[in-house]
Amino acid sequence: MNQTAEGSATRSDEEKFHSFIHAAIDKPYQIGKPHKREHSSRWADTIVTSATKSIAITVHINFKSPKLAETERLNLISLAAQGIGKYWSRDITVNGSLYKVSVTAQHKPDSPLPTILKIEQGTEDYGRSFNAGVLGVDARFIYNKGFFPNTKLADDDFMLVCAHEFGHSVLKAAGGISLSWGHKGTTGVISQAVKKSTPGYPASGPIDLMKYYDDKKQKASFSQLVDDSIVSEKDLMRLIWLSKIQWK
Amino acid sequence: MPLLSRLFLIFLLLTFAACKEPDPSFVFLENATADRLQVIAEFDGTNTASKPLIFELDPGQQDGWRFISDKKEAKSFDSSFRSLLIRSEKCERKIERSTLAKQIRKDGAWILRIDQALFSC
Repeated sequence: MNQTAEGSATRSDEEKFHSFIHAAIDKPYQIGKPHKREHSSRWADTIVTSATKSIAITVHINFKSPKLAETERLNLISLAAQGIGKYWSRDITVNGSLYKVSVTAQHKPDSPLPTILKIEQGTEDYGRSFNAGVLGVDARFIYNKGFFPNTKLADDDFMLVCAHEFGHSVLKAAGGISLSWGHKGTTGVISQAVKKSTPGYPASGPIDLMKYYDDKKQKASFSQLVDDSIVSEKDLMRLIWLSKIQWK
Repeated sequence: MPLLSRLFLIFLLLTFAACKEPDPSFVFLENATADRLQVIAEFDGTNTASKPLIFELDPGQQDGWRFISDKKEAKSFDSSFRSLLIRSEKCERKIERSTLAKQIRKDGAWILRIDQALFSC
């Protein structure tokens, strides 16, 4: 697409954008020779609007909820979408320009990104969510209804967990099993235990949504996890790299 | 069982094991007094740089922390937790784990209710 109107992206702008994104996520960039996974996702669409330096990403997830009542199903879909939107939307800097990125998650029954939504009613154990990001193994997002002292805490936890688990699909697709299951080098790939080299939580400031931290070295409060967790610029660029891009 | 099926089963088991997040548990502090409280939670740290957690809790407010629980310590709360320093406008009091252990209850998460009986000036 060659656009010359003021504020619209030119071929050169697009190429610079793509070149920067590739370099930022350690992917080789050759014009006319896209990587096999580049823009290959059938569950993420991106619209880049040059004039406003804004990027809108829509991710399509097939939220399955075979055992939930309709009100519960709609509530969990809404919370999952809110969580993904909250923790995956942020500003990124590309070629010295600040872009405002907003991520919207939508339920789409035929999406190749299936996720089972489940409610854990019991109070004994915390139901652990997971997402292998592997074809044939559906992700599972669990709402721990009985575990938390009130609904707000349960909602906050679920939104954060959904955003993290969704991220495994991005990391797996863009960087493979080791990046995803190993939480970007902070845990063992199979054991999921934090490595000796993994630092504690930052005392203040952003907490990487997709990393693990060693809470024996430094803990974070629950409100800090909820308020300060955020996707890294690099992981958001990985999502952009995977998605189908339309320029405006 | 054919080799291919066995390999697929192993792959599935590994996948399941690998992608489940570790066993987390939570401790929540609830301010059940009529005063705004500053609560400082102190922990053992593997290095001396470990900083305590500081909570500012309005009356009725809850906050806490997540910890990874060992199967061995499933019946007790965060073994690295040592003490709470509770401050109101009027006074402050440090309460050790041994005292708090009698007050804390498990109802899903571990919940420590800071009330007049536990903290008063």
